Amino acid sequence: MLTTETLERQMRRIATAVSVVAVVLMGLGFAHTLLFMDALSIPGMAALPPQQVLHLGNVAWGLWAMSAGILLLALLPMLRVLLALLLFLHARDLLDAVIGFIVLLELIVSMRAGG
Amino acid sequence: MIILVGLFVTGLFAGMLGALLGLGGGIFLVPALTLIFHLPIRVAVGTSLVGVIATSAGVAAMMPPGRGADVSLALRLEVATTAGAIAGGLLAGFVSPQVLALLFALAVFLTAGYTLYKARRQAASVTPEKLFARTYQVRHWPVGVSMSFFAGMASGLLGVGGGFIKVPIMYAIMGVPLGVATATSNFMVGITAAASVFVYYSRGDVHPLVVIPTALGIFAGAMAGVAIMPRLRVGWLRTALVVLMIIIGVQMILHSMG
Repeated sequence: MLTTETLERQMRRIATAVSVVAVVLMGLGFAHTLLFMDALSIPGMAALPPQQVLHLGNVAWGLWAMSAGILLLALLPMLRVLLALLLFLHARDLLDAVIGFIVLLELIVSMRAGG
Repeated sequence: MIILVGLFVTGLFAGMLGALLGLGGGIFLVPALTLIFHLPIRVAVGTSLVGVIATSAGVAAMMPPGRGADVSLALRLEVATTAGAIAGGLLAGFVSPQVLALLFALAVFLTAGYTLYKARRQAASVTPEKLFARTYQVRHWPVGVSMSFFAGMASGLLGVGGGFIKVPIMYAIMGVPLGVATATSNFMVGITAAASVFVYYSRGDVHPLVVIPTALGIFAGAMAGVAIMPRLRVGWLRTALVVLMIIIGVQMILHSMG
């Protein structure tokens, strides 16, 4: 049986871990960009496309770190739904697992619509 | 540099209100970024969507045990909300923004009225209202699910999390305690925003130099909001929610009149 406490604890863990990594990446990239850029212009450059973040090539380190942090943060809700789905499955709570799966599927559809 | 500090402070304010009222903060961020910082609307919406996810993450990371979201309720409602967000995104090109703004204003005023009516009935009862509860009976599922679909459409069409519809529906109609409703809404708005954020990201509307100071402010604000939440009374939170709904409703009517 999946207890509310277990679910809350796991959700808090994943939210904390992903947020900390995302904030560190964004903070370091932001500091690096501010230190080494010639002139500050707002809104500035757009974030790197996901493909470029995954295949680190000839890009500025600061922009890469900022883009990776933002992408990681954007993926967090999906990771939380996936975690809930796995916990419901582990607890054999099939109705909630199916509902979690439908939400995950909808998110993937919306991601593909965006791409 | 002043602009960056300004973005951080705006995020701080949005994150704190978002954590306290169960909103993602998009309803404050989009007008602030366009009116104060003169950013293009698409950049403002892209920034706001990342901000909504940051509020949701900050609240989840800081929530003490026993004050978290009702994940099962959130996912059930999110099936309708995410479908609504996708439908809203597809409908965006066909519905007149004026008609849409009027419909939202109507929904917001009706919900504010129902929240006040429920508060008066609660005041007449002898049992004091609790912000959080372990056990409660969720009622009126069909209304809740239908309104969640509507909240999702608002999100897809306007680039907000839709928390300003979700919290009053869960609290006033479905019988969920206000504290649980805000935590559940915070979880839900993150998922709803995630359904749209990649559209803006791939279009090049997410700009790190705007998003990062705003998001860092939001994280700090959301953490502060969670810390002060247990010291607040249900009545204060409810009043803030109703005032906010009236402001949003008036703003939408003005928007509909051009």
